[in-house]
Amino acid sequence: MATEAQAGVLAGPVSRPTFGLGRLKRFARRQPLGTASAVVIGLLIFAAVFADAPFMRTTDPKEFGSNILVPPSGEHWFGTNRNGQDLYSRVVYGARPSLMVGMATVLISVVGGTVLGLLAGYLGGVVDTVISRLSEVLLSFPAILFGLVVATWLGPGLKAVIIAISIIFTPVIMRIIRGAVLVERQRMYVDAARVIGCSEARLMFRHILPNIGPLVIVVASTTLPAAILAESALTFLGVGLPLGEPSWGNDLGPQARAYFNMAWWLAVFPGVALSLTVLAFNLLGDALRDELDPRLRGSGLGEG
Amino acid sequence: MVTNPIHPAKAYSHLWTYQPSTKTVCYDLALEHEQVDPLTLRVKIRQGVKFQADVANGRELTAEDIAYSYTRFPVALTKGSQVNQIQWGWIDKIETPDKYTVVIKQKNPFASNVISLGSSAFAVVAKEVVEANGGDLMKVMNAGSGPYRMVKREPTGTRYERNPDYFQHDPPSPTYVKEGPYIDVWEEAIIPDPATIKAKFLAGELDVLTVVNIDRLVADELGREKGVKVVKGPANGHLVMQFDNFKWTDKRHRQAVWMAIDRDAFIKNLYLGEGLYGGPTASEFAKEGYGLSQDELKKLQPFNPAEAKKLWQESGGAQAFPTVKMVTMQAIPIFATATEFVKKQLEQNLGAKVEVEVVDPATYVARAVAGFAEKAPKPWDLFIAWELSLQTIPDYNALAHYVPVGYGAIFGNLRPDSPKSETAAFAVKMQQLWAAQAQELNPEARKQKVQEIVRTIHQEYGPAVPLPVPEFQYAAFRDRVKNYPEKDFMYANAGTGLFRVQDLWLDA
Repeated sequence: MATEAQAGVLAGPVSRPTFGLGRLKRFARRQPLGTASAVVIGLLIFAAVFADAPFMRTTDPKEFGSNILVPPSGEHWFGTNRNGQDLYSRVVYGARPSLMVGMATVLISVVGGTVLGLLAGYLGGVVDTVISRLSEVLLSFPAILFGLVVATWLGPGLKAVIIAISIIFTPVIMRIIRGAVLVERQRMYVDAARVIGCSEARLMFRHILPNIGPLVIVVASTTLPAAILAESALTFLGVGLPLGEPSWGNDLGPQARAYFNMAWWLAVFPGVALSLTVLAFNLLGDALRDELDPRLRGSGLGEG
Repeated sequence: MVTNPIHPAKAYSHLWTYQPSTKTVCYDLALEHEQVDPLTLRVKIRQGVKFQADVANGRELTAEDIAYSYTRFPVALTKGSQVNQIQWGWIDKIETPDKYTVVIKQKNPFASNVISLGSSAFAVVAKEVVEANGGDLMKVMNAGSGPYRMVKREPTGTRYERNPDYFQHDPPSPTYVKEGPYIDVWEEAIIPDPATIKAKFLAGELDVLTVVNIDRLVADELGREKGVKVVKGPANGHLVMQFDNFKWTDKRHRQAVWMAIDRDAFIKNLYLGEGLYGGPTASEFAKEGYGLSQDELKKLQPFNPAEAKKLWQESGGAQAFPTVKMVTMQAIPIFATATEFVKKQLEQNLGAKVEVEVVDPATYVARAVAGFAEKAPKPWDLFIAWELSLQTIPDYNALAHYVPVGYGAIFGNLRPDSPKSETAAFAVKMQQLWAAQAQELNPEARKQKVQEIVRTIHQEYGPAVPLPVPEFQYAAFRDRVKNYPEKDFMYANAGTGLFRVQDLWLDA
């Protein structure tokens, strides 16, 4: 009887991506936009982590001040808002909830969507029917409306936003993964592994999952900016993060909007921060897809 | 078209309106009135006034209708009416010796009885319509004889059209004109987003921005626009923060909150310096002596974060309130900003964890009165309330929040049947003090009694914290709106503002 390793050889070994220095250099050379995006994201994470460090020169973003609607200056780099709060500090602190929501949502929805997609795609039958129909029900609601309902029901707060957005994205990811699994399960290495007596669970998680790994990474990288946008949208609509919390959505929200045409900086700085972040994650996602998808790798299509 | 409906006062007739700036009574249904003795008020009314065509078959409005309308308040209260007993609790019974004479017999003398009757709450309704709908006037569009008929009531707004059968006021008064009203249609848009309200006004889709939509920054901006006139007048609203009396039984907790709020910063930040320490009597009345001077209020409302924190810690504030829950809405910017400011102050100066629920206007009202009927705790700990209506009575306004028959009852934070004895004792005391001033017909003596109430509230750290109030308020009109009352624009006619003034007109 062939061993599992032999079966792997028979089916064609899984090409597991490695991330050594050489590969990073190659990535930087081939994907300059992706690399620049990674730098931006790195800076963003740095800002979020060290928002209250002295060298960031931030002030308490929730502290009311007497300098109201002051334009950008040496003292207030991004100006101040209606409450006299320093907008630079709020934009820097605002990176925290955005990244937290983005990452937590990706973690929940990618793990959830991948597991459900694997189960539905590989097992088929009743399992597939139940999971697919449930996801179709969830997908039949307009996403933002669904998010509004869930966030309103759970009340304002980071946790509610994460849950609401995760519920929106999980079925989307499930369907993508399910499609990929349906293709993978026809492959010879799956038959080979089955022949040597691999359990269903082992087949799904040890053999198929690594083969759709690049896809999962790409899906995660494109979900993250969408989640950040969704958080901002929900907060902008008043059901996301609590009132007054520094967040890009809050700073673009109902309280600020009434003053946009007398203070351009209120819209520009949080808006640019949000756009830049979303763009960076999207470009990085594209670059990762180009790098990790063997069909694009080396074809020239993926050249950044 | 205007924003934010004040209320449908213009669909109803009243005995009169009252203009605070001139202290003038402007007759609507009334022809004359006489305080026969401290307990008897006699009013002669017009003949030939008809209900609207689809109300009670357009029959004549008589003294019986006034008697019915004004004696149904206690019943209405049980059906969720938010009209304070302060306004009607003084009425014992109403006699109608003939079809056009109303004799109001009072339970006690009431210095503000005539002013109260000018309130929009004293709308005259047709008994048949009320009873056909089980006492719930929300089920019908119209039940009165006013100058306008409500023809649309939707979540997005209301529409009123001129009542073709409306009677003429002869002689006219500052409120009522002989052949009024001149405006044919009022549309009131309910727009929850302040930015959209402003955008619609700038686009010419709205003619009036009322005081709830404008702060000085927006007023300055609109004032630079062509075709727009911004009006500035004295503000007479109030802002108080309610405690839920089920939870705030320890006076030290309340005191800590009182002392943790930097009112000077509040005035500087929220009102851009144009603010005053809250009374709790309205500032315009305080200037007349129905309340305390700003100097005295500043002494009574000191900002002392160190003492506040010490009190909070010693009294176990964090254990009693692991999370302080507040409610606010964004439709009226001052609510959200004031809540955000107070939240920050309590977090910073008490170390409290504060959670704010942001709701729509309807939910906001529901949250305010939640638990009232059940005598149950509120779904909040602190609740910021702002009031613009009926700024004509000196012992009303924010003061009503401390009186069991006022907002104290409606909010449920102060009532004699409170399960918390400390608050109940305070409620009884406040009721006595309030009654004493209300029954004092000598203005100077009454002022002293009102001041005594205000001092008592501060000594006891009463069940609501007075917050600073704006000194001025603004409204904006498009040029085509003519003849609006500039001086009394926000509080003329017992709180219904300009919407009951009949000689406004539109330039074609």
